[in-house]
Amino acid sequence: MNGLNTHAGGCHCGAVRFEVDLPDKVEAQSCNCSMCRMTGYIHVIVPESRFRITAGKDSLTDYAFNTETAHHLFCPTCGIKSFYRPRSNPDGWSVNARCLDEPEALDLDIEAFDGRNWEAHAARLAHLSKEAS
Amino acid sequence: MNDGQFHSGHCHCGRVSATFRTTEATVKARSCQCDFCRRHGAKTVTDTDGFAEIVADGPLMRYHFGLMTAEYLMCPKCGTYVACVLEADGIERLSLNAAGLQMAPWADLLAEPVDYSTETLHERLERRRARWTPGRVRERVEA
Repeated sequence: MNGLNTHAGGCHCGAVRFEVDLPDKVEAQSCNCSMCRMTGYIHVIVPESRFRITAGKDSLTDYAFNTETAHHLFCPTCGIKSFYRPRSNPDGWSVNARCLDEPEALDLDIEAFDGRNWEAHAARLAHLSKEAS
Repeated sequence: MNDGQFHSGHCHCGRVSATFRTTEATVKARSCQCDFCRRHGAKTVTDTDGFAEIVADGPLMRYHFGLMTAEYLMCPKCGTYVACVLEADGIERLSLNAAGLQMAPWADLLAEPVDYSTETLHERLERRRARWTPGRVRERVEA
């Protein structure tokens, strides 16, 4: 992998675990939509090939609303949303930086994303889930 | 005691709602730094002289960990962490998550970071008895 390291994370009770391949400096988003504000979700969006669910995949609860494009996945025991399939990037994943085992190992560059006006801004996130060619 | 204030909120899908009557205008939100609260992005509010109520349409998700002194309540449909509850001396006491409930004014304000990780079991129970809000949790039986 070119300049990527594997980082692990998961929910609180330990049932749900994941791995994500990231560069040392990571672009992240803090969104102000109705869903993200409730948890202070910090988005790290990656292509499909850089993310793996390593435990608990079949137990996840799926919550969908509005257009039902996004799949908000949480642990049915501790309620933590460690990652989800975002509406802006249905071909990739959004990992919650709050759920990484060692978030301090990354240089997170967190920018504000205006999810309350999602239609006007979502397109600029699309490149984050494109596979490297 | 002044007239107090009345606050309300609900989880993302609306299955769980909360009300919070406070006796003082200066209740401040806290942001506990434990692994659970940090992952949920919690901002908690309490008032020992106030009253808090959680009402859920159907059963809540209940989770406990660590010293096992309290139960953490989540909406089973949307996963929102709404409150923590314990029973002490026959009284239910709650700590509401104003972020998850989108309860104004705290939901969009910065919360004070707090670290309770070095507390003993006794210290934890004493703090919660002294600070948390008397109240109740109601899980309506679905018709």
